[in-house]
Amino acid sequence: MRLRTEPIHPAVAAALLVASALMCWAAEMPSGARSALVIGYLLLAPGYAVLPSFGSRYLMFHGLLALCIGIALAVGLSTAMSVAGWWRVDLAVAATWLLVVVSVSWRVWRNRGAVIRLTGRAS
Amino acid sequence: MSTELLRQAAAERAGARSRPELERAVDLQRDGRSAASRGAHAATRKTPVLHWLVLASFTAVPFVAAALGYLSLRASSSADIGDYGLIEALRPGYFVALGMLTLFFVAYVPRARTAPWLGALYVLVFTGLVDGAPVVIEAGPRFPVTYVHVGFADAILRTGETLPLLDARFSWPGFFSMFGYLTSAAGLSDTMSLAMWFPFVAKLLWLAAIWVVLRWVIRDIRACWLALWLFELIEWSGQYYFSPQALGLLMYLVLVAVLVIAMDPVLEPSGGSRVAVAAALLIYAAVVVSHQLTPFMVIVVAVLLAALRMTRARSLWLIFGVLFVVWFSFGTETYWIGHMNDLFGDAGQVSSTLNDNVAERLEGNVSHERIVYARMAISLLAWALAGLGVFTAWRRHTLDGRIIVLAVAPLLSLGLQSYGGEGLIRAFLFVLPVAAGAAALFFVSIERPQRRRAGYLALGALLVALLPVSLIAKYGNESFESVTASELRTASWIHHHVREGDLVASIAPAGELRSGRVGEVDYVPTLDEYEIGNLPSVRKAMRQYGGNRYLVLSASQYAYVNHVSGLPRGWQRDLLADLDASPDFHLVHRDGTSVVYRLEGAEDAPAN
Repeated sequence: MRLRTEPIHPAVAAALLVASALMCWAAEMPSGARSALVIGYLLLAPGYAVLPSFGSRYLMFHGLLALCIGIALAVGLSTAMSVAGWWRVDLAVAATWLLVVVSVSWRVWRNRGAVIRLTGRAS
Repeated sequence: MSTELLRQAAAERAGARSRPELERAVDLQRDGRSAASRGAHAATRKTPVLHWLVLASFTAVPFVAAALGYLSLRASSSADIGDYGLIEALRPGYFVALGMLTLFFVAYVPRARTAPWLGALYVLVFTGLVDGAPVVIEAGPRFPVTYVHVGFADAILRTGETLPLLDARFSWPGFFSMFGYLTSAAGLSDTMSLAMWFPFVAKLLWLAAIWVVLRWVIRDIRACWLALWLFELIEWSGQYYFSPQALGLLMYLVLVAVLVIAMDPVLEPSGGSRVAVAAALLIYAAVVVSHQLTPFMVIVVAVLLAALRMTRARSLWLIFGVLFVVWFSFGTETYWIGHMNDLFGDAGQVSSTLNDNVAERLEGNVSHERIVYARMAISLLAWALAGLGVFTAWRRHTLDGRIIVLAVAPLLSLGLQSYGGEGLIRAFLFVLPVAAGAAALFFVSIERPQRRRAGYLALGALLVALLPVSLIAKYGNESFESVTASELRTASWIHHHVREGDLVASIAPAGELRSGRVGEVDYVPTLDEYEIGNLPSVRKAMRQYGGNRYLVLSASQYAYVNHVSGLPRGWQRDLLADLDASPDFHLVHRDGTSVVYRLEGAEDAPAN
């Protein structure tokens, strides 16, 4: 028995990339939608982007770990900025966005076989 | 192959050494098969129609209870909150809803294996009804300190830096910085809207994390659902409000999950384990910069699990310790210079810690004392049931030693410091998830059918009987822990009218006043001065500050002084009469029971 790691699921990757795309238009959105998108993205996307899946048996454990990674990243960035007195929220959001997009793109590339199979089956 | 042979084979493959490890290994092997076979067995026992009818009725009850409870809460009024808190304002329909939900839940528990996820619906509705009661009835988020934390987050948002000289909590700014950051990124004007939602999200995440840990160390799904119910019923500390410790408990539970699941000695080393440990380091770093007490709890748990070989992460505690020392040495320097005695003066002083945490809380008026006794009673009951659960499991050789470790570790941190008289509450909170699990084990592990039936009847009676006790323990202090609409409007008036450098004083602590202009305006409670020498002492204390000086009084302050300091009910009448007769205090704002006086004149003006 082992805690195995699995490649990123294409549906998760697609959701993260769509959310990343929506983040580019967040400023144009109504207040409620913007808040939900931005806060959800900053707290959930980094964890799901970098953390490999552990399989369906560990779904909730994985979700909590992913959330806590997002929280830890947000805490780290904001604490560093506030302690240094260099408060640049837009740059911190951009750094998180970049981390998500690069991680997901890299993991999708490594798992391109599954994506090809999935898209091939769909078409 | 017989069951015993299967067990031995699984144990050999997994390298299990003890009975609990063997059980766990077997569970891991058969988990996938058993769910399907249990479903098949259940289907063959009853006809499909009867099965679906039973399932439908168990599913319908939470919805009916939710509707009845919500409508009853809507009919309740915060004006009815009395000496015993929110329970005096609740309508009978609310209790009927909770009672019905409880009884059906107890009937559901033995059937949990056939409909495992129905438990989530019950726990969700129960949590919503219990935690939602003050939200529906009261004007704003409960606990004045919620507003203080909102003020801290807004101060960082406004200034872009921490203010460690203003308040010790800024030396652990992670939580406040994060919410300042999220507020700004989401384009919100202040943190209050996030603070309103925070308790629900925090509580649900706590329950999810408790589920993950208990599902691994206890395994029995009936015990897991019952444990979540007991946790919600018994957890009276209310620490899920907008606070660093709420986030701290979530991260603590997730770190425990990494130690006991990802690094379980039964599992072979793998890439997944290594990734989980790397994530744990990142998460622990966030805990270290966010909260003073949680890092201690994590280190103690990690040390004990490593020492007893209950985790493969044997040296992780050392890295945790280094991270803690690094932040403490450099990040909190402003705080610890001059506060060393506050931090470590209590180390080993167990009796003084207990005095701070228990005896000093048994002060105030009679109703306040009874509320404290209710809290103590429900806590002791939880620990007694947990003890019975542990004893039962030990007798049957099914006890997982990690339950003991997780129950003991937070208590050990009490030996280090009293945490300003709050250490026991925090330790109780960190112990409760696993204590609830152990207590649940006691009820679900009864084997003989007749005793089992009697056991569930007793459980139903106990849970229903505990409902009012729980509501008193949770919401007994609501007369001063809630914030009224007039207090919120008065706080808003203050934030709009005070200038930088002004003083805003109150008699009792009034957190809502600190929800804005933190760092620009001095906020001072003057209860000590008032108790020493009434209004002249308060005036003298206020005259030590420059700028405009305001004194704010409100209903929550009157209730606080009555409950906690023990002054007779209506004590404020003398103070208000003195203020009205005073030549230098002028009433500048009144909103319902909230009033604001401005202290006029120079520092050397005569005092009457």
